[in-house]
Amino acid sequence: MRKLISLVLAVMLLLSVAPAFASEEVTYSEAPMLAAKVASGELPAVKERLPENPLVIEAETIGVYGGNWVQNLPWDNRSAAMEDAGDYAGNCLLYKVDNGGNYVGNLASEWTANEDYTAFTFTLRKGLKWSDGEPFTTQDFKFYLDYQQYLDPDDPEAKLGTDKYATATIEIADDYTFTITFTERQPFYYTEMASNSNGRIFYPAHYMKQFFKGTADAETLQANLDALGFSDWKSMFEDRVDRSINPDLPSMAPWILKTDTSAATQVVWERNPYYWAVDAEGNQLPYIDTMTWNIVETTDVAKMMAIAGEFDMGYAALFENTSDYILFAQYAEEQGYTIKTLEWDEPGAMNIHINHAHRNEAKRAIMETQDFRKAMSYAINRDEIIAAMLTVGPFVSEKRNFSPCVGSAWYDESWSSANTEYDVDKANELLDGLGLTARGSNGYRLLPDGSEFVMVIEVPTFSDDWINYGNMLATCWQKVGLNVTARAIAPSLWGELMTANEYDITIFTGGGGMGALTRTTINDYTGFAYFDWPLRYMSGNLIWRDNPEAEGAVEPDENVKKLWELGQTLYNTTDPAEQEALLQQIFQIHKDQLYILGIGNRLPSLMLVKNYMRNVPDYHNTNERYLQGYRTETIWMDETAK
Amino acid sequence: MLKYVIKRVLTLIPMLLVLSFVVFVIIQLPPGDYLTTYINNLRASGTEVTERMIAELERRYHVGGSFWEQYWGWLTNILRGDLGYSFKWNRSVNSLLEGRLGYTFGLSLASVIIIWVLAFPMGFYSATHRYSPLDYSFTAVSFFGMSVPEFFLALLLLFLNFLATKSYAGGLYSTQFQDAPFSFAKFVDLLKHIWLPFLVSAVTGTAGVFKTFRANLIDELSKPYVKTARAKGVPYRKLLIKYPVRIALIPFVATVGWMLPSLISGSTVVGIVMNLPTVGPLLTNALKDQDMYLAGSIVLILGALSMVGTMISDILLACTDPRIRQSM
Repeated sequence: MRKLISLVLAVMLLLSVAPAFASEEVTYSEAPMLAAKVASGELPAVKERLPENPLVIEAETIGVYGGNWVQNLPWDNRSAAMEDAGDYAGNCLLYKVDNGGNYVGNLASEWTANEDYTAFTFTLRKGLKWSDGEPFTTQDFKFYLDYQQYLDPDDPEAKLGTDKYATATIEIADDYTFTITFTERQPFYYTEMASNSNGRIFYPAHYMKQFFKGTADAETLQANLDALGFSDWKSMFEDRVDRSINPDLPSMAPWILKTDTSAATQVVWERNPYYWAVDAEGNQLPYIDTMTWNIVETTDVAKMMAIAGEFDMGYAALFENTSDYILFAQYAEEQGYTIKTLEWDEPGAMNIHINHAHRNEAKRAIMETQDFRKAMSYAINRDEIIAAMLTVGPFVSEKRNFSPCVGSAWYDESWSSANTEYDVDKANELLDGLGLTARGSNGYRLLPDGSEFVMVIEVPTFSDDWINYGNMLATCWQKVGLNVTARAIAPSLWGELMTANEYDITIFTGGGGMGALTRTTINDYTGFAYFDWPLRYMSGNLIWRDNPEAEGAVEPDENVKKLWELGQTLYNTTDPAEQEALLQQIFQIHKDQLYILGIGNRLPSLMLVKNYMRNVPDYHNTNERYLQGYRTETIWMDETAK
Repeated sequence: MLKYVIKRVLTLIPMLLVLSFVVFVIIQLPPGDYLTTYINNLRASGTEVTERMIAELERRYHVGGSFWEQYWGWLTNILRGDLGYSFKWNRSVNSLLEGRLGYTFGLSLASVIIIWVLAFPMGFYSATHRYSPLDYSFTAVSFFGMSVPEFFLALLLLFLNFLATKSYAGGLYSTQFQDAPFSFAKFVDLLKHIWLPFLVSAVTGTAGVFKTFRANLIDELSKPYVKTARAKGVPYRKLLIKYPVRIALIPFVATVGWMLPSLISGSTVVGIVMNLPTVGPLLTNALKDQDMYLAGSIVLILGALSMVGTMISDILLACTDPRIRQSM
């Protein structure tokens, strides 16, 4: 009897602790439209579609499935809309959590680098699948590299890949782990792997192999070329691998293209049944079923549709012109949307580049001096220009130079406001001091050698109102006796003049990321030192850098040479303390020389969000949105609030 | 007559060749190409464009080759029916036009029919009942139609519609009906949108036709043969239709050929303002972006249609007007 009781007790004890040893049964749920397909046998059950360990995305609220997200955009403005359709989610191994170097595994579950950042090992999540159900493995990465390194026997000149990947090697450990090794150090590789544009180092091998000369036989390749109307297989490959064009392309993004976008007036995206992330309660993301883009001819039409309320959420890039704020604010309540503002991470709204390396020696002797730039800066009536061009409703620009913006860790008040007061007397004094005392018959100053000193501001017409800046600046400088006029030219002509060093002064926006609002990659700030696109003021020096004998080349002075040296060193430094020191040196040169003049800071970008959209990420500046990554899978539409 | 037709057709071919050359030269004239425009636009919007990106873009769009190489390549492709590749749309020009030609042709044809259906009876009535109140009101409306620019009227109507209904009446369909299969509801939605471009073209287009027809008819009515016929007792209505109207219609028959290109391009400005999926806005944007093949091919098509249209007009004129046939 006692034996029986102890046996029963032992069994009961075992049974009570047994559940603790049994594995946790995780239940996932899915959207009703997918559940219907599972029921009819079209799709496997949600547990099989998800990877073993799906990414769990925590959001403000748990959403409700359903909805059609409508946007209106011109076809060539679709890059921001592509981000909404999940470019970050579907293209990246990693995802940035913040700017302190913290990442979350996106497609990767583990990632390591060797000591000198030349070899990186990634482990993919087990069980990831492409949108057509095929497994996502390291073969897709190998295929990408094969394509980049392919030498076409019929076209040996063609360079398919970038230098970095052309010389990289990949080692496949198994289906889920690979190591990629580069010949040069890649200190910012993790950031690249979390970036939408550089992060996609994989192609769906099982689908793309029919378009790749290296894997497809000649017959298949030709058949595809004929069917799609291409004469060159490389163009066809690029076309077919573009997620915004090819609805048959397998993808890892939350939504996949459903309509053929050729000449379409409406583009529809549908949820990816194999999407690999869930919310905190195990619901497979995304919540929203479909996205619809109305392709419109111009942004004006998109704006009209916005004030008519015919959209759900309009992203920042489309409405980046703050001047529409008043219009949008007027109808906000009626149409039920809120206007979110995002600060631009840019060093200035419109920046003035005085040619530091002018071809004409007499002009250069004057224009490259610091005093000349100071004089030009004092002569600008910034208040007037800001009142005319940079004031919209509640938004008023502040006077500043081209420098890290307010809120940046590198914001320097003295640098930002140096020489920004409107002081015509000081300007005249400085110009007199440079030897520009003689005046011609038209009343304008002459060069010290007696020749005419004429300057033209080349204004590219990227936007119709830029010429207003040019005209106002010209008027300011005419008031101190300088013969300056502004000229509006087509952007393509402007580009040619810039690269040929055939201009006196130019104005240009841009400088994305260089407002230094967020510590993303030091890469962005090397724009102050080494890369050419923001350095419009030294085109002549840049020509010299490539070829000292070239037409228009001008040897740089020792400050510019120092900048380049610092920039190159910075690009290859990984130690944060060293980076900081180098950056400070670069900034110091800019503070001393003030190469690029500014007028004011750029007014914020606008994003219109209907009031029934939930879980919309809260970004404070455009850099946060573009460089940190943009998760839209957790956005949902609250039908009860419509 | 036949000799005349053959001669016209034969001179068409070298003319078309010259046209293709001129079009190509003009398209290539502005410095840079689609790629430089694209890169500069990216830079202006703050996107960093690295050397690597430029090299990749250059490869993808492969702009290169000498002027003659490009011209020859383009011409031979056109003769084969391949109108080229649009860099901006990442599509062949053929597929782009295919999608839009239907709408453009339909809208333009409907506009033309509306204009003629309205203008001719109006003109007829005006000419035969001069100085009547209706004549004055028709003339007044036509003055308005001729002086107000199309795009302005389009914008005004869009705005008034917005104030009244708080909805956007541009485009052809609302979002939900865009790709839906054809149904009665979709048709109703179409009506809600299409009345705007039709009203605009009715007001502005009718004016010219009306005034010309009215003037011609009035001219004819004062001619001696009309008086003779009336004196001889021919019923007025029958007389009118058989003689003066036919003669007054001659200028329209003569210019019907010129309508060919406009049927294909549609009204560009109205198309842009009202976001209609027609060829006009496509061409405008292609020119602005220097999308070489798209712009060149459309301009060539329109030019060719103009030439063909003129030829058709001349032949039609010869057919309808015996006086011209006599002089040949």
